[in-house]
Amino acid sequence: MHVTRLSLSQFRCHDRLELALPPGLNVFVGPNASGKTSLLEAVTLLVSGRSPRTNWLREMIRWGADQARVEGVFAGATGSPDEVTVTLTRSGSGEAQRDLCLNGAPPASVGAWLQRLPVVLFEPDDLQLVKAGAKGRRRFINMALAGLRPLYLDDLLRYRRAVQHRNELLKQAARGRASGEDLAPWTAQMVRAGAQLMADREWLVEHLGPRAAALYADLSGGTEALELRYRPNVQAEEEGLPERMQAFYEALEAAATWELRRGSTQVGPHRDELLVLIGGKPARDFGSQGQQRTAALALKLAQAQVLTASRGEPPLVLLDDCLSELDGSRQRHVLELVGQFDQLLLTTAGEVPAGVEVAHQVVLPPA
Amino acid sequence: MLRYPAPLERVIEEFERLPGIGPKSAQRLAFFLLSRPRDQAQALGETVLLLHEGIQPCAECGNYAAARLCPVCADDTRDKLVLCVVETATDLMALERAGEYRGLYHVLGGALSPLAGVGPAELRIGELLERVQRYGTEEVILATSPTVEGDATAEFLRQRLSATAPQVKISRIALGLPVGADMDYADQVTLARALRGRTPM
Ligand SMILES: Nc1ncnc2c1ncn2[C@@H]1O[C@H](COP(=O)(O)OP(=O)(O)OP(=O)(O)O)[C@@H](O)[C@H]1O
Ligand SMILES: [Mg+2]
Ligand SMILES: [Zn+2]
Repeated sequence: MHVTRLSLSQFRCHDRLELALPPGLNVFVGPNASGKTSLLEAVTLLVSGRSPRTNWLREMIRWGADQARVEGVFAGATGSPDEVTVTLTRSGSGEAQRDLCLNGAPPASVGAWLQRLPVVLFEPDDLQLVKAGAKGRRRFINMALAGLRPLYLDDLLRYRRAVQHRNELLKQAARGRASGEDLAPWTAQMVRAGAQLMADREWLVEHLGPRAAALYADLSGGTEALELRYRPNVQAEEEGLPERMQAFYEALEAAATWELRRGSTQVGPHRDELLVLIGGKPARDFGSQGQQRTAALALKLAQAQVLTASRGEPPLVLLDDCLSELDGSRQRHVLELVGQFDQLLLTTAGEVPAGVEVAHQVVLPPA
Repeated sequence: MLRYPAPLERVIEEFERLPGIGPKSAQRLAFFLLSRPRDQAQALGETVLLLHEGIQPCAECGNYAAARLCPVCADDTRDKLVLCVVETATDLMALERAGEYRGLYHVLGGALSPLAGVGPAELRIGELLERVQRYGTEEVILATSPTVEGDATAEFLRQRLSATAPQVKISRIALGLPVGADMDYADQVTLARALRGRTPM
């Protein structure tokens, strides 16, 4: 997929900006604070309805303006192009109002949104995928699967909702105001959705792992291997759905007293972990800065490859300032790798390494 | 700020409290009524006044009724051995419009939701179990919505029914689309769910 036209109005530091973008490598060059990241943020807003930087939509409206507007035209391998518009309107002191428009009609759900236009964003913060806690890696897995399977997001929301209801009942039960009979139907919902989440995650990591390993080997040129290992909080002997449900029930049984004392659900996929190992050791604890950075890059690239394989069409790839920490030959190498995709939007405050073919360059003036 | 005369303001306020009506629509409705002959507002007011006078819950199923029994329960051509459990009277109407079902209904009055403080005591579950005994019901169809809450409610009822009336055949159909789902995506989800829930032939 690629974006052919992008137009911004009163978005972040941009007053008005109209761009026509070809497939291939598009480079946005400009000094710090010239609005490069904001451009990619606008694209992300178009495809997901959200910003990768902030939870507050209102922060994206230009200071002093009442309304920001972003429009994009996205062309896929098949079908006619999608025209997407997002308008953010300030409303009092609270959160801005968001109006989504897809081909002239009002919004699809977030699920449909995430499904429709596949995009993978690389940003300096990706390092945290390897460096920080399990939460970020669960988020990565959730986002990746939401783009791949229509039911995943639905299952995830059902799971979370069942857990919330169940936690409420656990608190009541601790005060003698709810019984096992009250709890059972919620446990059943939670277990069913949870087992499905585990199966989907296992599937994803199975396909992500070998690709990430190959990419890491390629990028590092080193001898140490990258390995991804899905470690579900509830371990089942076998991989079938009934076996996972059985194992989940058993784990809940074992945690029953503890759950009552804590008043919340203590086992389940909300505690899953994705292990990133380099040379058999957790990259989080033992990886060097460079190894961690390369591992994060390999993870994201692998995600883009799985997306391509399963949708039969490459995602749009956004690279925000990710190359600056790599040396020249490695930069070239990364660009070669992402060159297999339809279109790349790359931001840089410096220069594009020599020998890389640039389809289009946009120079942003200083702020 | 300039305000409308009090009677107009009050009508706008009342309209705004209705579901799906924002400030703009409320104004439009109020101005519309004002622009029409007096009779029309009069008729609307009187109809609304009588709403609660004439309506009561059906003594059997909980559906809206103008008499002690609702039209479905009063209809003696209905199959009294089959009972379809729905969350609301609106769901009942949706099923009736489909015109396929010839049994009786039971309106629960909602779905279980611990977070919203709705437990079994808040729903008409005791009445359901009592009716099943009294009618000698042979089949109960659980037609709560396909949300987590609707599914959990169906599961809860299944447990209760199999404990108190083990001879009853229980089946489940999920009624309608999850709230807030748009058609496009909901279709995908429905299709995917149907695939997952397939049965061997
Ligand atoms: N709502 C807003 N209205 C106006 N300006 C804003 C708003 N939000 C952020 N800015 C400003 O926009 C500028 C551009 O930020 P952006 O992150 O896009 O720059 P950049 O080109 O990516 O810089 P860098 O090279 O440092 O990453 C910043 O100076 C910021 O202060
Ligand atoms: Mg930037
Ligand atoms: Zn009735």
